[in-house]
Parts: sequence; structure tokens; C-alpha cells
Amino acid sequence: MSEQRTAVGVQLRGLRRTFGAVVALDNLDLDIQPGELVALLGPSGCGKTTALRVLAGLEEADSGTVVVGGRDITHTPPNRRTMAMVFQSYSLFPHLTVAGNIDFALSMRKVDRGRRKAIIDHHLDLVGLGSHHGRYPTELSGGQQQRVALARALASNPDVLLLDEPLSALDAQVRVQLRDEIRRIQLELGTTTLFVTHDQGEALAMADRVGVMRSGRLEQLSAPRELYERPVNEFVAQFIGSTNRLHGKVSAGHVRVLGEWVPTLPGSIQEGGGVALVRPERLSLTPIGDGGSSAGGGFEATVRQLSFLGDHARVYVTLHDGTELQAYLHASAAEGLGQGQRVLVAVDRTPVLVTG
Amino acid sequence: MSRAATKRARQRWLRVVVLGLVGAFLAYPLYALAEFSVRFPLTGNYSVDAWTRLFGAGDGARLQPLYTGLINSLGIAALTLTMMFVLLLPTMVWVRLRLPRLSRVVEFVCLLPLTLPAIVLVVGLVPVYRFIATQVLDTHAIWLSFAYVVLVLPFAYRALDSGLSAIDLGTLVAAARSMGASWPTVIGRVLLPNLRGAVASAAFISIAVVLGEFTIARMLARENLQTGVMLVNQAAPQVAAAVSLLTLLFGIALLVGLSYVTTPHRAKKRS
Repeated sequence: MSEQRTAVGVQLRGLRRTFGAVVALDNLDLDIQPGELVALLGPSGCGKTTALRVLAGLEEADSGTVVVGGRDITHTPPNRRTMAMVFQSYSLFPHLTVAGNIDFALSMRKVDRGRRKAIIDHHLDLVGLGSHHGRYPTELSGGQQQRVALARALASNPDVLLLDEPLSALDAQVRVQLRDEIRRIQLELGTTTLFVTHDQGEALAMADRVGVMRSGRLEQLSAPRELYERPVNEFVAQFIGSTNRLHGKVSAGHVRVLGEWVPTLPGSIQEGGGVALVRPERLSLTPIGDGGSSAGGGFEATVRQLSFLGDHARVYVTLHDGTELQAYLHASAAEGLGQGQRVLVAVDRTPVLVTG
Repeated sequence: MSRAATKRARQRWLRVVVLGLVGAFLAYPLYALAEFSVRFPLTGNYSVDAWTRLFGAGDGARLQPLYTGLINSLGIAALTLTMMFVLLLPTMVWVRLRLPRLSRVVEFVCLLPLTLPAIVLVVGLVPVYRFIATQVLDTHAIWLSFAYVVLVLPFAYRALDSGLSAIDLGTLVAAARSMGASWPTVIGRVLLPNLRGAVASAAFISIAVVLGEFTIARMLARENLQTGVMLVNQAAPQVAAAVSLLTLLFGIALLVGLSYVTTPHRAKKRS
């Protein structure tokens, strides 16, 4: 087995990279703690893959520095960076067997021939492909190929593991299975990892911290829950999960929406009218009885559409003033609801971001 | 017999007839060469004398240009292939990875020799070779390789281009580089094995071009296989016919080998 390296940290400082007139990275700063898994998330063209490739050395930054383990490697070629990468497209060498692919990585790191077989066996067992040594990539499914790619990357014992949307070519079931495996293995080995994805579910499920990028800049880098519950700006709030846009008046750190004073998050406007970004699960719906009585507070609305999603339901309602809202309800809470039904909409007092 | 079966049988016969006619058309010159090499034109008597002279030791002096030309051509072919691959493959990889906008320009440059008749090339090459012969190297035929690299560019480019298009070049290179592979390792251990068919194709076609080239060698007064054949033809035309036949058969064998190497179903079982 390969000797485990001590986990190292990564610092990207002021990275800038342009492709003609397109600014892919715009003074990007990013710190990754030793052993941490950070996911970069963002819309297409936001620069997340460029950031990864600059860290890998596959792209040169126009300016800025890349420091790994305290060593400035900004101008170090990729083959001398002690990193390993798993790609979106299947990157196994077609002319080599599964074992041959991993052996290639080990030979590049100058691991003794005598030790290689044990390392290959260990890492194939780690990804659950212990009996596939002699298979060629064309004889494997997509999920198996990505597992081998992961084993190959990890076998070389990299300082930093780079994952460039490794699950996006897989079907939904395999994705979930493999993402859990990647996280398990990463925690087991403690390898510092940068993971690029456009799938927020993957990012939130796997990462210690998630960075949301836009136009080459990091908008927010936080733990998944904090990112979801305390977005720093409208872009992050809208990009992660769903939001309802509710007009309300801000005063003394609170905003009045749906008849309730809700605390505002830092970054919100201080006073005056604004738009509160409220998560759908923060809304509750109470059916109004046939007699029209409305027990408890809230605004009256009519159910426009109801989508059953297994463990929960997505309910679209229309307020009297025509505002459309969506609410996520537990499946059991949505049982009595139906299209056209009148309900009372209420909001809980979880802090929300209010924009101007 | 049903109508469909009748139609299939008719199509099969048609294929056989067409293939037979084409085969006969291509094979007849070979037959003619073979016959000329064994039948004395004036008397009509058959003899394998030309073949025994070719492979025997009795007529060495007269056939010397042929042997010299053959050795030169093999050397030229080896050097041409080496230079062509060293120049072309890394360039094509680099352009595809880093300068894709230049790919059309590279393609144009590589295909340009197809549009130039060899005799026109020679006009440009004469002063270059005069300089090479007097100032840099010497008059040895091996240096024809420089000109032949240009000649084989279009064929080699096409073969390598189709090979590179068939693999995920960017990902393979990035994967290998991120694992610690240097550029020579990437090309030698990752790309070449996956371009085996394309490389074989480029090599075989280039060898065939080099072994069959006459005009440039003749105009530059260098000895290669074809100039040797021409010289021997003047003294021993039947031997020259035998050599030409062997050269053509060698070319055909190369092409058959090419199709053998590049056909996917020929790949060995891999587990």
C-alpha cells in the first residue's frame, strides 16, 4: 500500500485567467484546508472548471498564485504537481487494463514495482472492483470506469484530488451511489479534494464547504447548511435551492411578509421596501374549512398545482393579489390538499435575505 | 426460389463479376510484368534467368545500381518516417490541444504537396539540395528524406488526423499529465498505443510513396530504388521487370498489412 501523505492545504490567490475577451477567473481567492473536500458550484461558464485546471496546472493563470502545502507551484508543470484528477468524460487509457491503468499512475510516481500489485489490489477493493484487474475499459460500464478512474487517481497518493464533474455522465442511481462512495473514501483517506460540479445536490451532499461561483468570482464559500440557509446575496440564494420572492417592508432587522415579522440576514437592505427570498419549506399551508373559517394566522391562497415527489410534495399556490408561491410540504402534510383548495399560507421566523 | 432469394443471388453474382473485372484490371499489369520477366521478348522462350540473376551472385556488377538503390530507399524510408512522425505527430497534438484555430492552416500546409507536381517541387529543391550538398551535408541519397517528408505529409496527415479524431485527446493527455507523465511519456505510452492504426497507416502509405518515388531522385541525381530499376532496365530489362514486380507486390503486401492492423475486429481478445 502507498504511504499516506500528510494532508496539505491549498491557497489560490488573485487568480485571473482570460480567454480572449472572456474573463474565466477574475481575481479568484480560495482556501482549502488540509483534508477538506470543497465543491465549486456555479452555472456554465462561471470559471469553476478553469479554477480546477489552473490548480492542476493544465491551464496557466494570467496572474495570481497557486500554493499547495505551503509551496508556490504557480509555474510548476502539471506532471510535477503531485495531483490526480478524475474527469467528466471517461479518461481511462483504452489500451491498458484496469490494473494497467493504475500501474501507469504508480509508475509515473516512481513506486517500486514490487509494491504496485498490493497498491492496485487495495485501491480496486476500495472502489469495489477487486475482481476486474484484467478487464479493459471498453468492457466496463460508465460507473465502473469512473470507479477505476477514482482508484487510479487515489493510488498515486496525490496531495490534492481533483474531481471535474466525475458523475455527470452517469445515470441517476449510479450517481448517488458513487457520490456516497467518493465521500466515504475521501473521508477514509483524508485527501484534500476540490470537486467541481453544476449539480447542487451533489455539492451539498458531499462537500465540507461549497463555493458558489459567478463570472470567475467566488460569491460565497460556506458549509452546505450555511450556504443554503444564510446566502450572502441574491445570486447565491437563487442558485442554491428554490426561493419565493415576497415583497415586504424592512425595519429594525426584520421584514414583514405574509403578516409576519421575519428576521433578516446580514447583507439584506436595512430599511424600506424590498424582496424577501423565502425558501419553499419555510412556508406552511393550512386548509381552510368548508365554512371558510381560518384558524391561525396567514394569508389566504388557492392551490394551483400539487406535485407528489415521494417523501414530500411541491405545492404551488396563488395569493389573492396574484402572487405565485411554492411550498414544500411533507407528504403526509399534503395529503388533504387538492387543486383549487383554499389554504392559509404562513411563513416561519427563520432569517431571510432581503434584497432591494 | 422466392423473388427475394433470386434478387440476392443476382446481386451476389453481380458483385462477383464486378470484383472479378476490377481484380483482372489491376492484376493484368502484374501478370504482364511477371511474364516479361520470364519470357524473352525476341524468341518467346521462357526462362527464370532474370530471377536467378536477381537473387544469385552471377551478375552483381550489372545489378549493383539496383542493390544500392534498394538499400538507399530503405534507409530513406526509415529516416523519412522518423522525421515525419517526430515533426508531425507532436505538432498535430499541440495544435489540437492548444491552437485549434490553426488546425485549418496546418491542414492546408500538409495537403499542399498534393497539388504540386514532383517536377515543380524539384525546381525549388535543386538550389536547396545544392546548398545541402556543398555547405551542410553531402550528396548521399539518404538526404532525399528531407524532400520525401514533404511528399508524404498529405498522406500521413490524413491518417493521423483521423486517428486523433477518434480518441478523446484532451482528456487522455490531461489525465496522463496530471498523473505525472512528461510529454514524451504522454506521446509514447498513451497516445501512440491508441493511434496504432493511424500510425501504421501513415507509415505504410509513406513507405509505399518513398519506395515508388522516381522523379525527385532522378532530377537531383541521387540513387534510389526506382532510379536503380531504371538503370538496370537499360542493361537487363527482364531483371528490372522482376524488381518492379517485387516492389509492387511489396506495396500490395503493405496495404493488406495496413488493413489487417487497422481493422478493429482483428484486435486480439483482451481478457
